[in-house]
Amino acid sequence: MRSWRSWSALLVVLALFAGACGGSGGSKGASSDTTAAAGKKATGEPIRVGWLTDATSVTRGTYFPEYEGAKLFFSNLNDNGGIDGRPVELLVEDMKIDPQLAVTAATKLIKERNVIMLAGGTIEGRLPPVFEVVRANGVPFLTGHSARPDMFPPKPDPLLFTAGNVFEAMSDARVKLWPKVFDKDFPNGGTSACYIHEAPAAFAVCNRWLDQQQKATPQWKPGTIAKAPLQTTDFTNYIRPVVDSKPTVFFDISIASHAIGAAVSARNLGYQGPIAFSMTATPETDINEVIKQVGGQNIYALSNVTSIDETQVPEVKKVIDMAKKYGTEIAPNSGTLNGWMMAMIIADSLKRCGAGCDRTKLRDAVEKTNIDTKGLTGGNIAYGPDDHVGKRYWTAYKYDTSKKTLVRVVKDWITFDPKTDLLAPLAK
Amino acid sequence: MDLTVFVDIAKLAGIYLGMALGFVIVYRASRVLNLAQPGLIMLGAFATLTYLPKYDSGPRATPAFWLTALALVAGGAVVGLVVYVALVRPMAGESRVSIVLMTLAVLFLLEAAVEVHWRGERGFMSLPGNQVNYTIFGTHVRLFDLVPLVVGLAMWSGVAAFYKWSKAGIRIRAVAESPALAARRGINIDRIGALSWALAVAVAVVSAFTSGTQGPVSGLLVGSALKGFTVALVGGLDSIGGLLPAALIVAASEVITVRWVDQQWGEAIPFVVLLVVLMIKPWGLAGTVEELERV
Amino acid sequence: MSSATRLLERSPYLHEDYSSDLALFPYSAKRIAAIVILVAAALALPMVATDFIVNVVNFTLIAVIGAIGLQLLTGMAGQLSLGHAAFLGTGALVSSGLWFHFELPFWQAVPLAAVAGGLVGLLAGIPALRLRGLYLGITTLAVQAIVAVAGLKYQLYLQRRYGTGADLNVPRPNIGFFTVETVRQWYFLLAVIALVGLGFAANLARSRLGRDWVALRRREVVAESLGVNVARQKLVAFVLSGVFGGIAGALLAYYFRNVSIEDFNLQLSVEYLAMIIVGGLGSVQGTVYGAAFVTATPFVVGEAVDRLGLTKSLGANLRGIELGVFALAMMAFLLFESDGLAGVWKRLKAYFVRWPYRYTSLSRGSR
Repeated sequence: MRSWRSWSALLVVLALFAGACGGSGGSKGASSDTTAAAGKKATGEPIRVGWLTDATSVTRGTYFPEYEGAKLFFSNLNDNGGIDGRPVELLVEDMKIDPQLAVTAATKLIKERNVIMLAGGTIEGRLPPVFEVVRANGVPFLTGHSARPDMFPPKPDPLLFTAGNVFEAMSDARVKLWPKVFDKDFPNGGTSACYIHEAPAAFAVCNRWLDQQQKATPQWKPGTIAKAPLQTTDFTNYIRPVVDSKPTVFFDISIASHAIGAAVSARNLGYQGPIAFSMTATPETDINEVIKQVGGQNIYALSNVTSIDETQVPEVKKVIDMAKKYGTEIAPNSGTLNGWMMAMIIADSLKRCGAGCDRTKLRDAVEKTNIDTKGLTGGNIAYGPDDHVGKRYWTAYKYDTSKKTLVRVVKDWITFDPKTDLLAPLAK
Repeated sequence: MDLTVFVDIAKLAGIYLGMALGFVIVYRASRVLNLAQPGLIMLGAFATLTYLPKYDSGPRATPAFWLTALALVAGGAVVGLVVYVALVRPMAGESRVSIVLMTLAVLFLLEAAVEVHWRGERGFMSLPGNQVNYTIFGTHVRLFDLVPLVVGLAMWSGVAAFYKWSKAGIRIRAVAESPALAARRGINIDRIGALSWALAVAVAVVSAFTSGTQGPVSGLLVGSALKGFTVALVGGLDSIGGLLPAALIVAASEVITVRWVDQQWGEAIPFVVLLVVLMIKPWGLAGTVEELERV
Repeated sequence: MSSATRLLERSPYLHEDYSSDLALFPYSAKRIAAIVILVAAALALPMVATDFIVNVVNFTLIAVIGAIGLQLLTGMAGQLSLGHAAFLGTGALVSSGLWFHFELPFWQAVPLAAVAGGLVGLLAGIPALRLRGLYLGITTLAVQAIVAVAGLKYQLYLQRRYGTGADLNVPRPNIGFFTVETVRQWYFLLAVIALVGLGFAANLARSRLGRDWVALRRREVVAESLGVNVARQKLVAFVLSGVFGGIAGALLAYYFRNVSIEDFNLQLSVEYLAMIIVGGLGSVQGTVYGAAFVTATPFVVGEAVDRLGLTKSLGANLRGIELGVFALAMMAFLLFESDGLAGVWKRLKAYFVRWPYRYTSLSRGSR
């Protein structure tokens, strides 16, 4: 009698286990987040594009607006015919900055949701786990703000493309851009101080930049580099050496809470000189936090995307209108514009890929991209078999305290060509 | 003479004093390590960020500001009470490790709540007097640089005085020394525990205010509040008196290391100090010895 | 009696001689049948489950290996450790560094990473000779902080000297005769390592060292008076904790092909602590349950929200919900079942075994 009970218990456990295994494979098609507007025009079978973002972690401010920008673009597109009548469905997964989530989110989108390509991604360090999954399945991947050397000339990985930068490329572009921004006010150059939060990436961001800057433009000398550990909320200790060294310009590039804390700290300690932000790390919304706290004089922002404050650019105005129409969680900023631009690339590639598009054909189409960014950056974005990065265009803004917006201070965009303009080799 | 070192040390010590005080208050009353304290500080900071009325300009704070601040502190006390009654009290009698782990679970819950409600938000508390500056002995000092020290000292001496002279304070000390004996003498252990927790969370909210004078509010507050924990240990987990020297030692070593030795080691320095102090005095600078060396 | 009938009648609870009392794995016919079914299911898993599930299982297995280390130290020997992530970080950086400098393949790098972890464990254990209880736990935090800074400096040194990127990269793991390529192959490798680790821990628990640890955990002073070499056994516990942590760290580095010290932070240490608490302090099988719980919860919650169609409203708050579920589960275990999931399992088993008697357990659980 008793042994029958225990045997049956065993069978029940076994049945549960089998049920769990069988039931978990394959989804019912319920998508994480869909924008397939069953509008008047696009009603065909949806084209699924996967998007990896950070929706809930410390870099949300950098990556989530990119997703929102893409979402706006596709909402608008789907309401106006989609791609040859088919709506584009954007399936988003939150990978935060966790490698486990990176792997599982990418796997889910590729294997279970059958996306035709992946886009987005979060920080540089978290892209390799996604690359593993992408390579195992032959899925093209277009990253946003962050990139890896794998995409750079002369022999980029066939599946990986980017609309963003690696830290080294950002630093090298900054060397070119810097004189254009500050030579007018400081014709004899000066010292540049740099703030980045303490992390292995700090080297490429600050040290490399200052070393190369000194070589290329000797009138600009390296100033103090300040780095506070991640768990910092009081930056005084770390910023004081910067302020004491009286730099000519203070460049502040870090995760948002650090960058704004460092900037406010610098002003509080008495530094009144120019503070320059990196627009991609601290978009307009974060810069406004600083301005609210310490005022907007002498605030600059370096960017490779047009600022959302340039509402005279028609495409910028369009994005703002779409944001009003469809709604966004984060107020539109240059990150949103970057995402919109990425969606432009994806849509253009899908269109050229045509009917019967699959992952391989789409990859080939993406590789032939050469699109007009309509003023969202300084020129076309174009890829080729030897270059999956394309030219980047950089400019700078200064906060105008009377207009209360960012205003362009570098009229013509600086071009950065990854084939020729890297000042030192990239790490492999 | 560069007085900024002293200003920085004083300021950091004040912040640490506030953060460590909460740990000690709870530990003294119940020998429980309150790992939820950093989470409570963070919750207090975010609540302050949201509810404190924005002031327009000038150093004068409106009555609304002070009222809201008081309300937040009182709210903190209530939260402490709730946590005690709902989660800590039912664990009475369990092993100490289990109770500590319960506070850890509370920390997670707090992180979850903050995550859901204030997802990814960061910003500065609108505290009046932001731009008030003094020049003391030729050094440029902000009002806000002195606030943490003043507030920290005030809280610390206030609690010390409370423990020493008020009736409730004496009762708390009795419970701290021997709960069983105190219970037999008619002291309501539950009420003491509840009082301690309420006090600890009220202190946490004030700590949140002081940290808000220095930098932005963000999810990283939990990590930085953990350093306050280190200070509590250096001083001796159940010693109020040990807190002041502990805060000064840890703050001084951190500021000096960051400034003159190496910025990276600055993060590890509070822990290294802890290690050194504990090797010399295993129960902290002024903590009571816990294990009797007899069977 | 024939041996077949003996097998069928054997009970794991009835010991007729000392050898069966001391046996590592008391067996009966039913137990063996259960094991066979379990093994068959484990072998079948990679065939039927999706890549997503296999990935989650792999993460769980790596977590199990790391958690074994913490279970030995905190669960069995009673030494609170809040810095377990330091051992994992050491293992990860050492194995990646060995590849970078000396091109050592996986199967050589992992044992060396284990040794490195053990060394760091030894260093972490030195304060244990002087400190007790919660104070000791905090010094492990100090070890964590020191390892974090040391790792950072090493990565910076590599960048300065060799021009490497911000993180370290490793190739696919080469176990001598075979290179692990797919997720499913990883599963088998990890399952083997985990099983060996679990067997080791279970065996350790019933050895003299294990019994010394039990005494150490209860009353250190008493243990010493009974002749237990307290200092030595504490250090051994720390070293073993470091070894297992180092192995788990190296596995993580190779799994993601990419590693950086900043991933091995306090949050990770706390997660491991949660694993052994939820699983059951001191229980080897509890390690598995706890690791599975902690690793799988975020994914389960995500899937549940998905299936219930709540993504639109709750999707953005996913992390908050996961943390909340986690916290509530921990609280529930602490309040109602102090022996964790292992205790729950014991009760479940006892219910079925002792049915129809209601009386399920003699003691509420050990303290």
